[in-house]
Amino acid sequence: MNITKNNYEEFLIDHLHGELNGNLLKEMELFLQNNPSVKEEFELLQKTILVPDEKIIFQNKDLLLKNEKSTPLFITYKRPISIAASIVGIVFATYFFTQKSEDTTIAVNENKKIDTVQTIVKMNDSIASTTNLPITATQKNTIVVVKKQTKTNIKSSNIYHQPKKKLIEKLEQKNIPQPEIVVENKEIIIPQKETPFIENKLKEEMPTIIENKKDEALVANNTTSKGAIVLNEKKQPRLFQFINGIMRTSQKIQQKKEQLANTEILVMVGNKKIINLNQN
Amino acid sequence: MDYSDDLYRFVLKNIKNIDDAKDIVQNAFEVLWNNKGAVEADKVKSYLFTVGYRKMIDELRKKKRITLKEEMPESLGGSLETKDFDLKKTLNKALETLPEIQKQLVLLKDYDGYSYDEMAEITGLNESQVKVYLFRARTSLKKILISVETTI
Repeated sequence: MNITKNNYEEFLIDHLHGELNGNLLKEMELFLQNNPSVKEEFELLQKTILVPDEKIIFQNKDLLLKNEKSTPLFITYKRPISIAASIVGIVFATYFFTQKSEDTTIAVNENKKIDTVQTIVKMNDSIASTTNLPITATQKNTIVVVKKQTKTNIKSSNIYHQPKKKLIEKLEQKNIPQPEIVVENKEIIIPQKETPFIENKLKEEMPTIIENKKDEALVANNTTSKGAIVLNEKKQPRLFQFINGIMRTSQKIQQKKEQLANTEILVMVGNKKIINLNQN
Repeated sequence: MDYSDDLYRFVLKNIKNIDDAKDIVQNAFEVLWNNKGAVEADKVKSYLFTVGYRKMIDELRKKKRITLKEEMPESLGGSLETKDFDLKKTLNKALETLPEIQKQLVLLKDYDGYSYDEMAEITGLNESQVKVYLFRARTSLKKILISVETTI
């Protein structure tokens, strides 16, 4: 096989994917040496290789473990759980495994208000990722868990030992202190006492601004007579957006906490209410 | 158990839903568990990926998020602005413009280093199809990189 300018592309991609060997590999290496423009092309192709984000991990590995001696129904829980919670779990499992395996899908209003449901699902994703709860949809003040009636889903439903109180606790841990910062239409006013908070946030999350104070320094001349710093959306856009983002996140978490405090947690299959976990 | 991370990353990147991705990983392990006697030790990872991949395709089809036919990548339009230029971000955006099957193959190759024949086994395609789709995918990604670099 001769690799030429007319047929090299296919081999180049194979080389990129480590699929060439033996004589063909040697031939390709020689071809690259003799053709700098193709070598450049190869280097560009190497840039198209994606690197996985190692921070993304499957967090519930204990859910994948099974105790060889037990029936496949139950997973070996590594965390201590209360006897009461275990009983609730057994009731759940018994109920679900005596049912037919039809997919019950989202338990609220099904197809009628799909937009609303999708919006709420999106909103709940952040709570679910914080708590590892299988929250799938809400209707008004009701969080509905368990959307499908499959063994996998039931096993992932550790709701019975992470009820509402735990959920609120998790959100509390995520709490961001609410600084007294005034966000107006095009300006943000940071009182002098809040500047350390903002500086710390900047150091943590946007160190380049601290290093590179040319466009939007906190120490600029834009202070009021009381020492407060005034940021203008046009003059300091990045800093404006950054602080605006902090304030909005803080408000959202506050809203979620309030919403959750007034929320009834139900487990439903179809339109049938199975259990109310509100009193846990 | 590290395979769960690899499979989770791959599925999540495709399906973009944390709950669905978790369910698919769990389901794959469940199937593996039920067939543990029939799976050779050195084939465990590709078995998990095969099961996970098929389940993921079912989910995607159900939700009509994709059509599996080959389509030309859409133009990136204004989504790649100069100020956003960063190789990783650019590549991730470019990846989203690929047809689903090409995207899945690129991820199987780059995230997990599967060979053409292993990818064929996982996806149910033949090796020639895998090769052709990957060729098209790399060519598209390369073109996008060139166009972005040119605008800077």
